[in-house]
Order: sequence, then C-alpha cells, then structure tokens
Amino acid sequence: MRSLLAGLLLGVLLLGGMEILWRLDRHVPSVTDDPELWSCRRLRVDAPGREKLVILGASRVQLGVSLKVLKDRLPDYEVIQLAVDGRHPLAVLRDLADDDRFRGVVLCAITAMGFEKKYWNDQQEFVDYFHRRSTLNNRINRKIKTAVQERFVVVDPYLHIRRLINNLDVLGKLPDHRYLITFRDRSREADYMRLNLPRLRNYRTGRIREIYAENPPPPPSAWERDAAETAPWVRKIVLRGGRVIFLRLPTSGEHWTIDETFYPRNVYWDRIAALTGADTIHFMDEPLLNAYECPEGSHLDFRDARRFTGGLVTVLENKGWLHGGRGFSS
Amino acid sequence: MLFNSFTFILFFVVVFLIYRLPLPWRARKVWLLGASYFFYAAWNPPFVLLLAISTVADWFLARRIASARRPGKKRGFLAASLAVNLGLLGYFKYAGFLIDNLNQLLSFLNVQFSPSPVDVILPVGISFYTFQTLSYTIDIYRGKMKPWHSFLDYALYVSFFPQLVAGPIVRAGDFLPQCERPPDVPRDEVAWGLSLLLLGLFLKIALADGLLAPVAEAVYDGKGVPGFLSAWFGCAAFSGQIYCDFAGYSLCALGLARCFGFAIMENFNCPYAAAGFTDFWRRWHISFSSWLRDYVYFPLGGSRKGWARTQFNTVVTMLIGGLWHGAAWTYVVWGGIHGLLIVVERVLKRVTRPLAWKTGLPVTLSAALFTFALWCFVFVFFRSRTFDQAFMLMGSLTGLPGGGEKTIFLPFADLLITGTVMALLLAAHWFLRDRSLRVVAEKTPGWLRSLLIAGMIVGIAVLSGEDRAFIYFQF
Repeated sequence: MRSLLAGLLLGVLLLGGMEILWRLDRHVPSVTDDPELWSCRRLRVDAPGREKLVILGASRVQLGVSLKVLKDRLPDYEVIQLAVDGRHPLAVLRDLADDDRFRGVVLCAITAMGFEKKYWNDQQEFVDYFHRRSTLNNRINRKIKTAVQERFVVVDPYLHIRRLINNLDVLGKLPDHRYLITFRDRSREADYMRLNLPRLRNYRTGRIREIYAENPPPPPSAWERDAAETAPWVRKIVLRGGRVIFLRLPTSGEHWTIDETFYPRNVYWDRIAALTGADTIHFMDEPLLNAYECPEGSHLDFRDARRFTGGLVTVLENKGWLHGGRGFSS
Repeated sequence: MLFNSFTFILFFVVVFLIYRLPLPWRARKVWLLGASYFFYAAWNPPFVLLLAISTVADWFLARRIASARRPGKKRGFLAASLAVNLGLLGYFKYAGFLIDNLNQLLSFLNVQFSPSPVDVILPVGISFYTFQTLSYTIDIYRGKMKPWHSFLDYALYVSFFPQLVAGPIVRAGDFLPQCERPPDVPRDEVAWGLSLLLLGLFLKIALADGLLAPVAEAVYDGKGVPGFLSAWFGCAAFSGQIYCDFAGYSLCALGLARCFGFAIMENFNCPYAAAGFTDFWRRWHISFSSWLRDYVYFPLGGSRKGWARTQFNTVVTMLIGGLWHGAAWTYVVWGGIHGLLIVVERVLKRVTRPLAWKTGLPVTLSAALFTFALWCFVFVFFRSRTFDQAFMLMGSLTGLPGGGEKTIFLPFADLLITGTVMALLLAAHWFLRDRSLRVVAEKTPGWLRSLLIAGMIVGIAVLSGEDRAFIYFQF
C-alpha cells in the first residue's frame, strides 16, 4: 500500500511539474470537441427556459461568430453552438425540424454548396449519436472531462507525444502554441497572428480549388431542386413559432473569387430565400458585415469575430428577426 | 460505463466504501448485485431485462436438470437453456448477418424474396454472460456440480460488474464457493487490486488508445495501400492495440474483483511470447479458449476419436471461436486459419519428432517471434472490414505492388512509437512468460514500484487518445 500511495503522490507531482512547465511556455488549455460534447449542447435545445438561438454550420461560424458577444447582447436567448467543423449543417436543421419541442431561432451558416443533397448527411453522425448513444452516464462523464480539459494543459492532445515527435522530426522544434482554442460551450477562437499567413492562405485557396475540382457545382436546376426540398423543414420550424435564417459568412481575396466563380451568388445564393422560405443574410449586402478580412481567406480572427458578431446582432435586430436584444453602438 | 471514465471512478469509490462497512455478508452481496445491475443499466437500461432473463431462466432450468430422473428430460431442460441463451445471442448478434446471407443466397438462386434488414442494437456483454450462464447449466447436466443453494450468489456470479461486459468468462465452480463466506481483504490485497486496475488502465488508455490505435487506423482506415514497412508496423500496432485493450480490461477486472475479495481467473499469460499456436491459445483469452475446449471441443469428441477426427474437431472449434467474435465471414475465416495452423503445427511436430523441438533458448525465441509475426499476418482478417481489404493488406505485407492506388507511408513518429512500444511489450512478455506478475511485483524494490506507478499515472494523463470503448465490448 505504501508504494502505491507513494507512486500516486509522485505521479501527481510529476503532472503538476509538467503543467507548470507548459504554462511557463505560455501554452493554454483547450477543450476537445466530440459527439458527446455536441450532444450535451443539443440536449439544451429542448430544455425549458429562455428562447433558444441555435447556431448551425461548420468552422467558419465556430470561429466567426462569438458566443460571448451573442450572450452579452441577447440575454433573452440561450445561445447553443451546434456547428461541426468541416461538415455541411443541413442534417442538424432537419433534426431540429423533426423535433416538435423546438420553436427557437436557427442561425444556419452555410454556403450554396451545402444545399446539394449529397452533403445533407455530413453531420448525421452527430445527430445519430445524440439520439442513439448519448446517455446520462456519458454526459456526466463528459462534463467532468470538460472541467479537467479546460483547467489543465498537460492533458491536451495537442501536446501528445506523437505530435511532439512529429514536429521535432519534420520542423526540428516543439509545436508552437495553439492558435485555436475551444471552450466548453463549443465556441472557438482563432488567433491567426500566431501563424504563417501567406503559407496558410496558399494552402486554403489550393484546397478550395481541389474541392471544387473534385466536386463541381451541379447545374442550377438540379441545385434548386435540392434546395427546395429543404423548404418543408423550414416550414415546420416556422409554423411552430420559430425562425430559420441562412447566413453566408465572409470569405476574402482569392478564396472569395473562387467561390464566386464556381457558385455565382446571383445563380445560387440569391435563390435560397424563394426556394426555402427562410430568411437569408449575405455578408456582402450588409455594411456592418462586409468590411472584414479573413486572414487566410476563409475564417475570421477572434478579434474581428467579436466586432463582426456585434454587427450581426445589429443587422438581425434591425430586420426584426430577434427580440429583447440591447441596442448596439459601434 | 467504461472503466476508463470519471463516472466509473465515482461509482467504484461509492460501491467500495459501502461494501467495506461492517454489514452482514448477505447485505454486502445484495449491495454488489444492485451495483452490478446499475453498472449494466448505465449502458442501456432496457437491456438489464436480458441479463435478468438469462439469469432467472438458467437458475430454474439448472434445478430442473438436476432434479430430472430421466436422461431425456435432463436433455430437454438443457436444450431449453441452450435455446434461451443462444437464442438471445443469435437474435441480437447474428440476425442481421443471417438475413444478409439469406438475401445473398436467394438472390444467387434467383428467388424473388428479400426479408427486411434487421437493425438491432447489440447489448454489451451478451456474448460473455450467456456463455457464463451456459457453463453453469452444462456443468450441472454433466454432474460436475450441483445447483447452487443461493439465488443471490448465483445472480451475483452472472452479473458481477468487474467481469460482466467483457469477461473473463468465469466458471460457477470457481466463483460461487467464494460467496459462502465474507472474504478477508487486507489493505495490501486492496493495494494489489488497485495496482492491477492502474496497470490495466495504462495498457488501455496510454498504449492501446493513445499510441497504437492511431497507427493501426492510419493503415487499416487510410485511403490507399500501405507500403511494405507501413503495413507491417500497422499490423503490429493493431496486434499491440488489441492485446493492450483486452488484456488491459481483464487486468482491470481482476484488480477490481480483488478489491472486493474475489479471485477470478487470469485471461492472458504473455501470449506474444508463445512458441507456436497451441501454446498461443493457452495464453490468449484463456477463459474463452478453455470454454471452447470444455463445451465445444470435448463434446465433439476431443482427441478421443482418432487423429483425423481430432484435427477436424480442432478446426470446427476454432471456426466457432471466430464466429463468436463477430457476425462476419472475415471472423470465421480468421478462426478457421487458426484451427489450420494448430493442425499444421501438430503435423510438423509428428514429422520432426526426432529433432530438438521447443528446447533451447534460440529455438524458443525464434519460434515466439515467428508466431507473433504470423499472428499479425493472420490478424488482418480480424480487423479488415471486407475480404478485399484483407487481401490488399496481405499483398502489402508480402511486398506485392499496390496496383496504382495511392501508397500510405507512416510518418517517422508512428514508426518510432510503434517499434518502441511493441519491442518493450514483446520483451515484457518474454520476461514474464513463465513468471507470476505478482511474484515479480513483490520482488521489485519499493522505490521502483512507486516509480512505475507514477509513470503509469503520467502516461494515462498525457498519452490518452480519443475515448474508445474496449474493443471486446463489441463482441
């Protein structure tokens, strides 16, 4: 028993020492996202209390819309982040439409590409996990795990030995500090000043070109058929007293040019309101939203995200699509 | 709930502290039984009914078997027990597989009838507790034991949470006598139990999930064909992953049982130091391979009906063993290959009898390394989703060209980590192959034990990967 207790104590001390060393090197903790964390947030959609403002989308809305600003500006709403990095969001919209208890506001950040039927099930894995595999036990475990992850750097997979060895092998140094931090409410902040932006920008534009080359846009008629099939989902939510807003977030520079080349908005995006019955906001149409530069072409830096979100709330309030918000002064 | 979860730590602390109170022995057993059902309900509450059905059915059927005078009646009650347990297993685990195969057969015969596909959730642990209750009724049928006098003890035997969801498959004759009297569990026994639990969690969290699983996935789930070296390292990583995952779970089960004063059988005995596959299957998933031996191989005739029939019995037993692991032909083929390897080994032993066989360190060591390499090679069928994928990987393992597909190369970090972990694992197996872990631990100086424990705690905290269920839960 003595050696077990001594070992436990020594282990805790070693971990404490490692935590101090990482902190001295200015590393910060971050929560890891997974379907269980998503499910914990999804559960809030049906919880009694304030009206729900549900954010759908992918990384662009996770980084570009600040939950902190939304919560400060809209105290009458409970803001729930259900975006999933790297995947189009319509599976979750469909799930909310089928949920008779949901009557809130959906702010769905999406591009025209996301309306193609072949992308509808991108986030279905998370929806299925919530309905079939998330249990009370798993949620309690996830809450404890989140509490540990947001307090301790030493458990961050970003500093896993595989990454450390990989970095030393390829770059000859330990990993730089995280540029992307995830919080317990699944919001994220990206500090792009920590990165080599020209290289990242080249990577992003190369990637979007590849994506469009491998998945060329469908003819407008086929795309319109797919988009129109989402109208019943919108209708279900609206008839229950809710609202669906499709939001086109900023992209910049060459990324925006490529987007417009493949999916010109006058052919695709501008048709969404009529086809789906939802409200739409395109960043280019709003002076409060169109003056931001995405450092790598696709996502906002956290400093701009806060200002952008303030502008977004003002736009939503001016259109009368939200209620109970505080007035904005820039 | 998973052993490697915060909620399990809370559960264990509460259950253990109340168990240690000076209450009557019967009350403590009731507490353990309730805790075990709570543990199982945490997965999926309705499936507690299945556990209860299997428990109650076999309790009453075993008593009927024992009291029946005519052999026909005994056989009838045994058949009922087999029907209940194998029926539950068949429906939840194999219904989809059977219907898929039926659809394929009907389609091949041009018959226009397609049964609807079955979509059922597999209750966790069902393969284990049904086999456990079956061993009870079969042992009673054979006269090896009498029906137990206490339903409480028997229900605890079936549902005891340390081994409920992934074994070891405990025999009633080993467990039930331990329920007669309250065990004496001094602090050092609790310390040993907790040490085993910690070792099990280290194997599972740090080695299996954190270090080896990502490498195995890069090869098995990556887009493309792995190169020769990457294929071997990926397959070795999977072999290491499944050992660390399953043996880790078994160590947790042993350790937890020890904390409550129960001794359950070891499930692994350094299998990666086995010299030959007969030796291997005496060291790997011991509770399952001994179950197959006693309840499949022996009833088929074992080795009592001539040499040829013995080999046939061996292959059939291993085919069933493969099928138990999963509802897919790849598992069956994997089991069948192991059966054939055992047969080939027996033939070789007969042929090479005059030569030195398994004597001398160089021969044994070479045999062990060859056995491990062959195990990794054949394990491709176990892990692959389809036969196409299995053959593709086997091609990579034998150095055949990839047919124009993109080649997967593992990065240096993955090669280094896999090589280091597997080398240490094989060395540890070799060192412990004929030794008891407990004896080795007791002979280790206290300061070194403390250092190893500290190392495991640090490893668990910093090396954990994604949360993954224990692999054998899916069986």
